[in-house]
Amino acid sequence: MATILVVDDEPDVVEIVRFRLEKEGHTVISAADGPTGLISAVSRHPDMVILDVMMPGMDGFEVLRRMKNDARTAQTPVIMLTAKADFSSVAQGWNMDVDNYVTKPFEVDDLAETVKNVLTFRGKLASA
Amino acid sequence: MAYAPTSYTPGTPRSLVPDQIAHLQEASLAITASLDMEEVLRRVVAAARALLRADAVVVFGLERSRSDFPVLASEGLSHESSSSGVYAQSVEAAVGKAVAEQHTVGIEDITAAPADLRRTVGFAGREGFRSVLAAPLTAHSTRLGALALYAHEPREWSRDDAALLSLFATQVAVALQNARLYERLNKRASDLQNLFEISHLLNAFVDREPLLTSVITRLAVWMGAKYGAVALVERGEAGEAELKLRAYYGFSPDYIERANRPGGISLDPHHPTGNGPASVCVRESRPCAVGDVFLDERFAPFRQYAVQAGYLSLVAVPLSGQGHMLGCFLLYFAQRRDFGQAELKLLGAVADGVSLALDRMELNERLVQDAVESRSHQATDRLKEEFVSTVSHELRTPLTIIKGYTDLLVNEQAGTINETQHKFLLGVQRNTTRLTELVSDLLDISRLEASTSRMRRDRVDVGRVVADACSEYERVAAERGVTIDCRCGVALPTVTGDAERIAQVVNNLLSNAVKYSPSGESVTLSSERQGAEVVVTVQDRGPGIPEDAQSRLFQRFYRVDSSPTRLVGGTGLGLAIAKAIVEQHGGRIWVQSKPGEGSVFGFALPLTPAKDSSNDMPPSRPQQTTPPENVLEDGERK
Repeated sequence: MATILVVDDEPDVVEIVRFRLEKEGHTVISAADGPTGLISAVSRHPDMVILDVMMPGMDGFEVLRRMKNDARTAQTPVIMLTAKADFSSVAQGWNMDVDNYVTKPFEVDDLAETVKNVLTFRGKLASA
Repeated sequence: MAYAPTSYTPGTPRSLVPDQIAHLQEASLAITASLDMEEVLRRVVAAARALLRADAVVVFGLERSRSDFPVLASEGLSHESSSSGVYAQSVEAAVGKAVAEQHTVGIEDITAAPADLRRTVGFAGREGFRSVLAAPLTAHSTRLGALALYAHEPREWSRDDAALLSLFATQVAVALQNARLYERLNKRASDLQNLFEISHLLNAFVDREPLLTSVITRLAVWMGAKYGAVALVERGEAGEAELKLRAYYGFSPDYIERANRPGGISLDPHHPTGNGPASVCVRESRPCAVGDVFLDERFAPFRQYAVQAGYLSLVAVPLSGQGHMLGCFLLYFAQRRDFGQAELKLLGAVADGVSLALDRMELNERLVQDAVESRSHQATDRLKEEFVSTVSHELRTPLTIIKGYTDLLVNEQAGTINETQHKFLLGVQRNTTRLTELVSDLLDISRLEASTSRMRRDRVDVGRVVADACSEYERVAAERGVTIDCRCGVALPTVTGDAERIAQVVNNLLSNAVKYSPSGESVTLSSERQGAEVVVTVQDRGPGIPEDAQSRLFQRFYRVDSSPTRLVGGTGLGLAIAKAIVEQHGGRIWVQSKPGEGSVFGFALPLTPAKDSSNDMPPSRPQQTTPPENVLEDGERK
């Protein structure tokens, strides 16, 4: 099973994701803002980061950009949690190296499925 | 001694002594040497007096409007008669006769005139002359006046005297004529210069009052007026039209303030102040001149003002804008004055210029006003969009959380739930979804309606969009027992726009059709080229829409009837969004339906103009280039 870092400023969203992913047997760690998330992404060596886009201070795209520019985190799989409007406005013109994205409001089961697929694809999951 | 006036036939002097020749030469020289009329006349008069040994020589002018002859130049008259502005009140018969008959006329002894003619000898008598010889002044058959010699003693004028005087008269006439022409030329040149300067002023100002003040000042100085004013038509407190002096020259501010009191210059002919020159001029849209405020009875009610301010004549010239009277300008003169047609025409030209400038300023003001309003519209739109965008984000977060917890509960991630709990939680889930759709539709429509919204302008293959929608909805339709019959033109020409938005329209129409179709029926989706448009239609065999509801169908939150809502869901914004998207693409959307016979929804988008395909945008998906038209149409037909 994997260690997954959830970066979201909404504790309830973190709680829902944590609850569902722990059901899958993953270890979930969390950060409530971008800078803390970046530190955790380096220090805790997560197998995957689930990143919210809309966060005060440093938004999810900026966290993503810094992760990709840092050799220690560049290879970590990332799933973005976005409102659809954020994504179409920013992502279309920007070749983002994200593994997948899930639009809010999301189906928790769909998220769990996406996490599983990405981990399998990236070889992070021993099963399958 | 004889009074009887003698007429002399034209002739040449029989003999001239060298002295006389010198005087004649001096007169000729004077005419060619100077263009100053007074100088010329002074020298000619002196030469004539010396040559003909007269006690006095007078040049009388002739003005059509007067019954007497003004003294233009003289030698040997008393100061009283020769000073400028003193006119011969009555002229002895010789001068009048000379002008009337165009002959040189002499009278040996005026005092020998019969008693009943005595009154005509006023001028000569007052000056103590007894004898007169007068020659007409004529140039190009225009009567200009007379040249007269006077003697204190009775004198019998010889034929040579008459011939010489006639020669001088010719010289004087030429000089007068030249001077008049020169004066007229000068006047015209200075008029042009003044008009030029005023027309410059007309464009030099942004604001109304400084413009009018500078123009009326320039105009008054040019015309030699004592006062000037510009009166503009304005609405009084009770809504009645009045004239207000909005620029002036010479007047005291007190005078202007008094004139601008309510009812000061009315435009109502029944109002006591409604028949002054300004009011009449504006009402009748023609210049109104008062040559003498004491003679013109129309001006009688206003004489006190003329006395108070000290003017004797005035003229009002209308300022007419496009289709309405703007007002007039007024010039007031210290002297009595005749306003000739030429002068009024000139003032009319100035008035035209001023009117144009006023019109232009009004237009400018309106344009500036419009620009300000449209800027504030844009700002409002932006604010509105930002507001809706923020609000929808703020709404989305709690919705995400509600939905997340509900999903966990419904899926029994947090423990088993009983059937009733499950049913209730499904209700929460369903309405969360509905609220989420509503939020995103609201965001959509506010973006589409804001003028700031920018649309992508790609080349879009509508056939592809329609085919994608078909496959996307096939599963949903199948769940409801509905089949989708997709009749798509495989290679339609492109339209210019936003593929995602167009897909949104197709999806909306298709999902509506599927929702309203009874199980077992099919929905027909087609896309084809019709002329310069691509037309997409979605046909269902649902309940249909009453005619009175069809036109309101595309309004926000309009529902044909409230009962199916519970069954089919939806936000009530889908068709309004579809309409906004289609119209943003320069297209149109419609519905045809009969209750009980189903509905056809359609929309048409204009094709990408031919030039676009070669210049503006390289096709983003080159494999979709347009095939020849016949192939295309064959592909479309079924």
